[in-house]
Amino acid sequence: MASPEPLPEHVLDGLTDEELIAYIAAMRSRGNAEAAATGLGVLVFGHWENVRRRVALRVPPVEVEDLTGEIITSAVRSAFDGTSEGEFIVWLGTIVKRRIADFYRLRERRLDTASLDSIAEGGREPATDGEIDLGGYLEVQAVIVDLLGSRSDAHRRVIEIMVFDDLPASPAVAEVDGMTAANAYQVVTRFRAELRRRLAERDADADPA
Amino acid sequence: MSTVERLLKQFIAADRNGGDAPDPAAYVKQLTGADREELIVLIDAYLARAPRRAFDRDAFAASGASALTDDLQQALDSDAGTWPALLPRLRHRARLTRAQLVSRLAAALGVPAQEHTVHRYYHAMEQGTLPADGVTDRVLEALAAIVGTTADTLRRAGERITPPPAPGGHAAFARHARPDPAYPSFAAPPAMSSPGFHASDLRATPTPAGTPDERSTAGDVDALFTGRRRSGRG
Repeated sequence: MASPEPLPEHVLDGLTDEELIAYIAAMRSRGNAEAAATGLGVLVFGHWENVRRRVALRVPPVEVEDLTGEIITSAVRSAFDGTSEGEFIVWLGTIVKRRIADFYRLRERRLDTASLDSIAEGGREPATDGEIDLGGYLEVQAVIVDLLGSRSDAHRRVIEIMVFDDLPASPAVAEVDGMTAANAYQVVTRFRAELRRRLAERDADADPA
Repeated sequence: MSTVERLLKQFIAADRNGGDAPDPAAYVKQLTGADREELIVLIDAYLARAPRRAFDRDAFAASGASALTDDLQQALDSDAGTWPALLPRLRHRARLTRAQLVSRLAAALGVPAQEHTVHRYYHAMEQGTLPADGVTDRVLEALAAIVGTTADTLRRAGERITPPPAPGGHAAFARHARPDPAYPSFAAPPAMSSPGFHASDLRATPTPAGTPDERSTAGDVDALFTGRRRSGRG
């Protein structure tokens, strides 16, 4: 189809992020603002809750919606001006981490100039952890990046399938050459144990008492 | 199975159920210390890899995604880039009303007597009607300090969104998109139109009478918000 026509939402839902972005660009270039807006809505809605919940794990409730909007704005902008790197979802994840780190940097600056009491007013601490700081956030991010990065592609894929997709060993065995169920469970067990050890070490370093 | 593992499985199952997105806090709050941190890390890693949620028009309308989509749609065709989406959110996060922000901005720029003119310009920035390339670095540095970001971030956000050149006239987004026979090529977007913006466009009301010094600062404000494009520098 040389001239793509506007597509209904359920069809747009089935496109990959990259296909959806290309579709929105095509609709814009054809002057079809309504179709472009529909595509943009599918893209933004599809990622909104996942980004919002990631932000909410680390940022006070009153900041979450605005920071989520800033993150998605930045990612969409990069996708449309060609400055994003790799897949949209990976680039979006990079921006999430950067903006949360920026949040902690800003908060540290604010703490230099404002009283702790005024900052703590109005439920401004994260719902999940009131103690983390920029250093702590970066350390925790480094732990998971290091742990996954130090694995072979095969072992990383096993972890993704069995931990983050919460599937049994059989799909991992089917997808990864030479993997057995016993090996797959061992890979996951080692990953969990090392994650736990690294986080415990970090806690011990942060609180030597 | 550890408690962390059990809670992660429960969270993932609930997330894939297709209904409302489960709140991670409800799971994380059941734990303390290293267990809590471990679950946060695992839920975060899961969400980072989670696919797009299926579109639901009612949920869309009720979420912040709807307003953001409107702002982004405006931004895609704006001479102010993503300022319409970004600036109101930065201001809100800084817990400032527009009037409060303008007051601080006017003071930071050394033109407190011209707050009304600064207000008009700032309003135009949030609306995406002020061409960003005219706004000087001095304004962006002052604004960035007020809302807690950097002038570079604001400058980049204000750039008009134009797709990268399409080699050989092919798809502008080809490097992002997987080959799809339904979309073999995409035409380049319309050429950027000349903004044709004049400072006087924002002077809907005459500059109030004042001392000669106060009147002269109105011109200074114009230069601050539109002068970069004319002078070619910040």
